[in-house]
Amino acid sequence: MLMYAIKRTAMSILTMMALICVTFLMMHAIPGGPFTSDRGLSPAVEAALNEKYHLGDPVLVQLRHYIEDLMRGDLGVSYQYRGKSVNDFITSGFPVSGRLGCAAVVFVLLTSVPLGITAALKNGRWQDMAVMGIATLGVTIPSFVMATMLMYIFSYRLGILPTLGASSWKGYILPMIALGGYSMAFLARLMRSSLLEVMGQDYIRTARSKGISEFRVVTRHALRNALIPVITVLGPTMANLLTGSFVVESIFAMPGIGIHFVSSISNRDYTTIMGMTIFYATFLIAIVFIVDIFYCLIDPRIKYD
Amino acid sequence: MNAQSEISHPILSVRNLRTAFETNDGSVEAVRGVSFDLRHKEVLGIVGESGSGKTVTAMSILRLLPPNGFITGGEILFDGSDLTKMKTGSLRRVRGDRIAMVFQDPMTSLNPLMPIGGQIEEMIREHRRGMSASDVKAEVLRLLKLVSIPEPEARYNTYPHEFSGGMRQRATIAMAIACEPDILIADEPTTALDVTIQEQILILLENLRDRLAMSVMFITHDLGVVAELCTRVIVMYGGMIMEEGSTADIFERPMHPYTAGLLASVPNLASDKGQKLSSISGSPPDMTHPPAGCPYSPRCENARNLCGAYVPPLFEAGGERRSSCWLLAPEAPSGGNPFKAGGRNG
Repeated sequence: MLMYAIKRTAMSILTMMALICVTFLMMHAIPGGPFTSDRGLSPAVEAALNEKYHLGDPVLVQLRHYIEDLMRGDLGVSYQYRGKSVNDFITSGFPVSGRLGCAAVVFVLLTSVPLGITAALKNGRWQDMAVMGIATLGVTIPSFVMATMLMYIFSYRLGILPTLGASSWKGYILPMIALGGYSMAFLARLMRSSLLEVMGQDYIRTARSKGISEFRVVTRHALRNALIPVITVLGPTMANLLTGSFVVESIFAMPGIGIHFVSSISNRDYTTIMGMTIFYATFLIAIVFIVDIFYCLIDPRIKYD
Repeated sequence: MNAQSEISHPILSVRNLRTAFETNDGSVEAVRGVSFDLRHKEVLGIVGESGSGKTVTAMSILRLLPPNGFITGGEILFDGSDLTKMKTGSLRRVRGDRIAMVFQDPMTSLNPLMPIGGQIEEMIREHRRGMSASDVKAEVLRLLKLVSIPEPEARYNTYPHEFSGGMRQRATIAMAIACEPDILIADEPTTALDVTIQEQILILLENLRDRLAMSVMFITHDLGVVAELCTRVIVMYGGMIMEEGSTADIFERPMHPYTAGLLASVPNLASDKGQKLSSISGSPPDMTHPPAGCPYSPRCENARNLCGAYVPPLFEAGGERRSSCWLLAPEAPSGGNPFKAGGRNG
């Protein structure tokens, strides 16, 4: 297990390096640069800026400089927001995105798994129909539509929750639902189909033949087996939720990091693009790693050595 | 034969059992009026091809049918009560404790995420409430030893995937006999195993039957296994009983043409190597549209008009023999063969 963890960490570092290089090169392939704008800076000013940020150097030299800085934990300064470093974006935005993400993860887990189980155990009955109805809506309604609907109902009509902002915990409720809605629906469907499949397995019949209660058959024999595919999907889902969402954060005016994912690209804000990519990738790799370890704990057939 | 009175007393009586499945093509009756007795300490073989209804009959007894399967008629009498009408709570006390099962495929019939010891333990804990944890564990180890699993202590915490097929089947047998049931239903327990392992499992089952004085219902399609293990045999076809009798009678003097056909298609070491194996032509009936008469009649050499139209009753043929064939009714009209007339070759 320890050997596996070491091997896996080494692999992760290699993956990160490849990712950094490829993103860096692709980013430089986007036409224009950070200081290309509609207003049209005078060529002399643009040249001076490029000079200042070493943007005139060969791309590979720039890449080397970037990696050297990165090793010191410095993600560089934003080319777009004067006086702001990429580290600033993350340290100021991530607490909001992270809180929202955690809330969404908890919301997704607490709703999708019980809903999926209910649907599977009441297969074909009204409970199943209801859950599948909710799940279909959740998968098909885009988050911005869901966000607007939630705002309309809970803020405008009922007036019980704030429309915007992250100033109190109440402000997180609607974004949490809007953000987690899709994953909740998707995981509920997955949980349902997985449990249905497990309930038809031979070992469930064996368990019933022992005379144990149906409750025990489900909790001791079926659930653990049914959770395996759900856990597989959970890793990327969690990474997605925790690293913030441009759409949901924008609509609810949450000062998270989601907005930087999108705006940095259209601004060709090189350092921010790199910073966001590295941040997201590290998160994804770490969570998938954690999930794989969980996997091993739940399924004795999986051995990593 | 001093145990005759005890032996002839049935411990389980199945009466006119009917089991059907709801499918997209409508209701399919897999068991169509099956009646038989299981006696004390006997090994009753239930033989038939796939789709003959033998497994469904077994599953009906403990009501372990899939969600679309239903017992539509008849009764299953055990210990004075009808299992088909028993409340779930009472049925749970029969399952495992009084009637236990061993299933066909040991690869899939054990929970892959639970250690072997735990799965056996669960059975004991369920039916022997109040037994201390250490006693339960000791009992599991004793059972593992009883079914000849080497190093029970080391095996206790291992998972099914770490066992070979034969070892897994031993483990499921240990689980089934954990509460010393009155009846063991074994549903093709050797079919998924190598021939050498099959033999070991059969010997194990036979030893356990003697030791625990269980009645065994042994479901199989393998006539060799029947000859080796069973005291009595029921031959099933198309969801019905074709013939019933002692193993010796069935093998030496089959009364039903289907039984005779089955026996003729068993390969024999003594026969000429150049001789082709005989087989029963045709295929089993489509159970969504079963024939109106005897289910075997379309494939039967002796079929008559009567056979295609009416299901023969089970004729008592002396002693404990019964056979469901019109040949046993001398007064039955003997004209024509509806299946040969149309040039049907099966």
